Amino acid sequence: MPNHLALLIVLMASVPLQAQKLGEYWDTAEQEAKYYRIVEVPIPKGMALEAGSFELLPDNRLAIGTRRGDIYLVSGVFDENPQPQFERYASGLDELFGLSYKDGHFYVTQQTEVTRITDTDRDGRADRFETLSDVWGFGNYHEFAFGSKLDSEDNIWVALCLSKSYHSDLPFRGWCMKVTPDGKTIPICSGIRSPCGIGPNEHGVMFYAESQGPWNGSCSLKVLEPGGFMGHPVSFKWYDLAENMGPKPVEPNTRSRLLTERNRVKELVPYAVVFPYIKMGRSISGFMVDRTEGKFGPFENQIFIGDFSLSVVMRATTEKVNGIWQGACYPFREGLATGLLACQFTPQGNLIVGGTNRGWPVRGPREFAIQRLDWTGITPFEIKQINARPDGFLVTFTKPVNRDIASQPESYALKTYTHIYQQGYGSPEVDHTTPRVVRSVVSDDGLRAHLQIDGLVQGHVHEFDFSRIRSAEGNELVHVNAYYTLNEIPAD
Amino acid sequence: MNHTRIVIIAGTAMILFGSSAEAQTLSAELKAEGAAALAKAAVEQGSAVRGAILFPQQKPGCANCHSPGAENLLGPDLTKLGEETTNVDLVEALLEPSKKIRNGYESSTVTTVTGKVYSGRIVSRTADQLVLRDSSPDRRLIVLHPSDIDQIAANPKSTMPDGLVDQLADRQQFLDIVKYTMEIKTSGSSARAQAVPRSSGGGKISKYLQGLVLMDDFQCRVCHRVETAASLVPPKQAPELAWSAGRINPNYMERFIADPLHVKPGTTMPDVMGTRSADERQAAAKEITHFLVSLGESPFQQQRLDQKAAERGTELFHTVGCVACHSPRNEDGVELLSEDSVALGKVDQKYNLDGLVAFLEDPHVARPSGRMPNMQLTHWEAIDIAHYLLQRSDSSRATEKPFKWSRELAEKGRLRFGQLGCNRCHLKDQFRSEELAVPLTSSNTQPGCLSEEIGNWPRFDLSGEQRDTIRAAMTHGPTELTNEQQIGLTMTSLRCVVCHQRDALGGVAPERDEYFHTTNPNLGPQGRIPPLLSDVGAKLKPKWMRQVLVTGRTIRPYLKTRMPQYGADNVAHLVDLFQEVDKLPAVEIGDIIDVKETRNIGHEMAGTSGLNCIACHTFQQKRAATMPAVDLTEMSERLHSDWFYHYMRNPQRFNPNTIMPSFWPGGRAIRKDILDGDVDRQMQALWWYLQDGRQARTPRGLIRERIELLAGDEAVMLRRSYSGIGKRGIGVGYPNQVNLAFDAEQMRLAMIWTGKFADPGSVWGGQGSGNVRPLGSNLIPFDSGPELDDATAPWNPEEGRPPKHQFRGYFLDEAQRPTFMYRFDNIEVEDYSIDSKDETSGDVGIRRTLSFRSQQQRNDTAFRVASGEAIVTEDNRTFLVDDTLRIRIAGDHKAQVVGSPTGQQLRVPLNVGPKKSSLVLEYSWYTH
Repeated sequence: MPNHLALLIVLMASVPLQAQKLGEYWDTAEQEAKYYRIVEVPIPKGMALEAGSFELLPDNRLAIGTRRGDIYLVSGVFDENPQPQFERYASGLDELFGLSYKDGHFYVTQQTEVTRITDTDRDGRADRFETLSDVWGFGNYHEFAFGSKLDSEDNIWVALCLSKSYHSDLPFRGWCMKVTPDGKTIPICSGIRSPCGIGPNEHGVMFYAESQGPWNGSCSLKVLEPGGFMGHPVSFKWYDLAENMGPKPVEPNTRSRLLTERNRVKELVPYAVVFPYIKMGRSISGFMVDRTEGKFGPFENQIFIGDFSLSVVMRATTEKVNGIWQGACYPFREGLATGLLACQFTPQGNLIVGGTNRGWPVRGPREFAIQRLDWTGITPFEIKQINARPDGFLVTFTKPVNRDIASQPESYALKTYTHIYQQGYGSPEVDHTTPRVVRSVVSDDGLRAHLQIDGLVQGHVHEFDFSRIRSAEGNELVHVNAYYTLNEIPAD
Repeated sequence: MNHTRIVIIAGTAMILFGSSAEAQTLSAELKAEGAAALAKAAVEQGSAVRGAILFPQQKPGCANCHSPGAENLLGPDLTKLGEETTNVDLVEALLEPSKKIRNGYESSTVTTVTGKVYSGRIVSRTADQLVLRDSSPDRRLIVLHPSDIDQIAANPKSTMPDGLVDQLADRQQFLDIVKYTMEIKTSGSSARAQAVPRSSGGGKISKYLQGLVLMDDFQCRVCHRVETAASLVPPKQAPELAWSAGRINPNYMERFIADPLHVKPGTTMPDVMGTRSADERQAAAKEITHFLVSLGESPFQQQRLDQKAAERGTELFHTVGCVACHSPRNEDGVELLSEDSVALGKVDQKYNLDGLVAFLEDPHVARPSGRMPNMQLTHWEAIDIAHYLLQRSDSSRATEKPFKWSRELAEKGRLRFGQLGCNRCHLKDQFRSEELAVPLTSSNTQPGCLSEEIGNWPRFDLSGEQRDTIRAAMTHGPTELTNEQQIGLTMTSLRCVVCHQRDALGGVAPERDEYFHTTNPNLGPQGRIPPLLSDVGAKLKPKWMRQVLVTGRTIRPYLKTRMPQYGADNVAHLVDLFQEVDKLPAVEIGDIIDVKETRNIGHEMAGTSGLNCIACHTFQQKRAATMPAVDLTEMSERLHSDWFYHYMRNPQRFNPNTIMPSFWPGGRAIRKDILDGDVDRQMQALWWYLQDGRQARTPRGLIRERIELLAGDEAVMLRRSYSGIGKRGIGVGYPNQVNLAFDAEQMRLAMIWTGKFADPGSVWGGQGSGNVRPLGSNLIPFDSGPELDDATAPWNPEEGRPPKHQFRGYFLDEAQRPTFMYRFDNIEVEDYSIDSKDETSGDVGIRRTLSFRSQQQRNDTAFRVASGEAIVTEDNRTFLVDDTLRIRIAGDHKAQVVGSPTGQQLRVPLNVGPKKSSLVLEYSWYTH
């Protein structure tokens, strides 16, 4: 088939002669730019603004918490052509990876503690810093702490990085703790490795972003299931300090598979959305759900998540199947200027992203940057979302597809794989299979294709290649890949 | 108000050059030392690497006149001096340039009959012309006809001035330069084998191709069946008139339509009403204007202008690249180079502010074929330039009668629009027009567009030369164009040639040269002139090239002229063409035995102990002290490896303007101690090191900025890791130059010091693994373990975090000084320190107030104030600890000096109850 041949040639041409350490680009930036513009938010000369967290204020300002420990209140960021004014609200804090505002108080998560910060004399600068909780041990710089925004009950959820990234030397390293408004601190779950983002998914359930490493074959979004175990057993030693958590779980076996160990270790929570390494980021970070009611384009109620290493923004969707969270991730926008740590939707429905490139390898060249993604108003032709079905998947597109192509099973290519669940660092993709699309039923409006699949594999990432799909107007998809983590096949 | 100060101190790195303001000049010192001694010293102590880097720098500027391998310079090519030039000769020539002047390099002064005077070296002299390399700063080649010359006089002195070495910083730099010239003096023979004479540019594509460009420019194809070869640049399109409505002044529109060639000389829009009367023209123009206005959504409105913005716009207009095509203007707005420029016409009468801003921000919406490129202006820059271009519009506005739209006229205009054939170029989707394919052949003898007569055909603003050129293209007939011809066509159509030179084609015209600016003159001409495109396809990887052409990626922050964007459809084909056409011979370099080791050597070479690439090149956005040459960490993404190997051998071969030295002149390594001086393997090591791209290890000697965090008129705080405290440290710097660090895990004052507050570099750099480093002096640490504790069984800090102590935060006073809050068991503590300074003695101190409260009355606690080897009781309130720290206990408390495992301890037993009680401690530094 001539089509096949052309595809093959393109693929061969794209094989790099010498692989870049940070992996190949998606090479979609040029297309993406038609739909999502990157707007620079200028930072005053001489100011090192290493954003680690964002929050919206009722007065239409953006609050920025930084790695250097400042909180800036910034006006003008949401203007079409931003010329922001920065005011320093607080300084001298320690790596701000969590920022929330309510009723005149900021609730920040810094490395040492969760703090309530107030400007009692209303001069525009904070003057009262109250420690809500610092129950966790802190003895190594790599013991980062990532805090959620206030949840519906005004709690802050804090994901605590391991010690030196491999150990759990001090209490609760590798745990998630919930800090209540009066400072009570409740252990939620163990087994965290290196979180870099925490917040609710599109259904309001608290999730966090985990990085590839020991016991994590690839980066993933995981649900912070109370009483659960997130997969890295080095933090088991603190169960004695957490009566509410019950006894210590069974140790998982190394060089196993997560699906296998789920049967042995009942507390083990499987990764809900795996982000295959390099293809979909290398250090996924801060995320936020699009609640802009369509102002950011066709992806309302989806998770937008940045990546520190590759300076990209991706999307994710989750669903609960047979009582277990799972879902898919999709490429969205590459070519941001620095390593992304945090993101924030604006009242206008744009997405602020920011971070720094210091410390670890980052593709984005700038030491720090704040940028804004604005939807141009043109709807991209994309895979909107993928949902599991008992017999396959339901694929939803942002625009009607060419029905002839989309209803042919051969128009879809699919492979599956999983990762080794092991103590060693990361994992290659293993146990590959190639399921077959048996039938594709396209909805009347051309926006959905129900794919009936022969060869679904529970526990595997299902990687889709939609490169043959065309829109009704004959256009290619902006991104042709999507990745669904099939922890559970829905019961009929 | 900025209350605290963050001071960033750029490292005083290597000083590559500087001025010597000593009593005795460097040249005098060196002359006194003598040439022979200096030659010997240069051999022994000079560094050819440093010399190589110094050689092309603006000071001393050796390469201005001695660029290795270049032709017709002021001074001799130092790579061809040969063995007969001794080391001592070299030293002498540097110290006393005029003592011995090499044959053929004498200086002459030529006076012309019009009285102009040129000084320099006569490069060649024939019966027809005299060519002189001018010694003025831009070192032009002056060509004079014998009849212009009045007088030629030989100068006794060399063009190389005496005392040039005084531009060097010191003797070491002199030795380095001498050492480098020693290295290269015999390298010329082999270097020449590679040297390819470079054209000085300024050329054009063939007349035939120029004709094709003109035919596209005037859009001949819309009426004619054009049977010429096809350019890969998509045909030029007329402006989108629907966009213009509401943005272009209807009065201007009307004037322009009535008489385009006079209202905007140089326009490519023809006059299509050649034989009609003035009245008829006026009527048609009016109707069409009303029609065009009806296409817009909102009426045209003038806006107020801002003089300040116009001033900024003046600067931008003349630097970012607008005047590469359009004419620069003087202060009165008079065009200075109108003849050779793309006509701007009377922009001020044409646009309103919003319209022009929108156009400048994204010209391709109005003119999709990209001939007016997107100059990558920010919104604010577009506003400034628009203000500049419109600044004279106020006066013309006053006399203008307001435009009143009429439906009737608009309907007539619509008809006119079609009748006059405007729809052949404009609004094609709104009108259907019949095929009007007049064959375009030279045999057609009827007068038409190309004739100078006025008739029933479109009349273009064509010069005689342009007519000839178009005729030449017509007679040429269609032929298949070569890739190089396609490149030439594209570069000419899109006017790349006004900035870029590719072989003989194009380059910055002399009269426009002064509008190309740099942010850093140390880079020389390459710092301001856009890069050469000769061999560019062999140089740049296609992906990078596409990013530069299509997504605006840039690598040269020092060029003030911007690389414009033409739109992917118009320009992206260049990527494949360049890659296809430009080939360099493959470089065979042996296999790598040990990749890791090779990279390590490359890493070494990039740093100060190797070839010191970072002396000039940016590394991972960290600029070198002297200049921001292209970032080393982006080389691997940009460059083809073969090009790298060719270029490194002889940079000037590829770019005569570059100040990049070769560290392998004549194919011999300057650094013979690295990899046994193996040229190939040295370059290979560098290349493999650069392949790590953004992840390449930081080269040795890269200056990391030092940051100082200092108190201003308010206190400054930093919660981070401090040595001796751990991660829960809180440092405070006070305005009176005293500082303390509190331990929020052990609840104690951990240390105090005087002077500057702290260097946060290690916690704010990299991953943040280090400690905050106290600056200043007189640092006094205190023992670990809680200060307030059980009187009899205090917590042993070896066992970690004290279980009954809980940090609760802090609040700030009006000078941002914190009061720490913590709890011990059921005792609430507040801990507030203020800084003090004795105005007469200048002594500084800390006054610390601790207050305690407990629901329950208890007398079982004590406060440990200090520990030391020896604590001397001066009076019952004042204690001297280890001869360094004096502590005074104010108030009613009684202190005790008790024995401790390390010596003595000063402690205060407490009686705490529901009523708040305070302990006041005054700390001062004891000086003998």
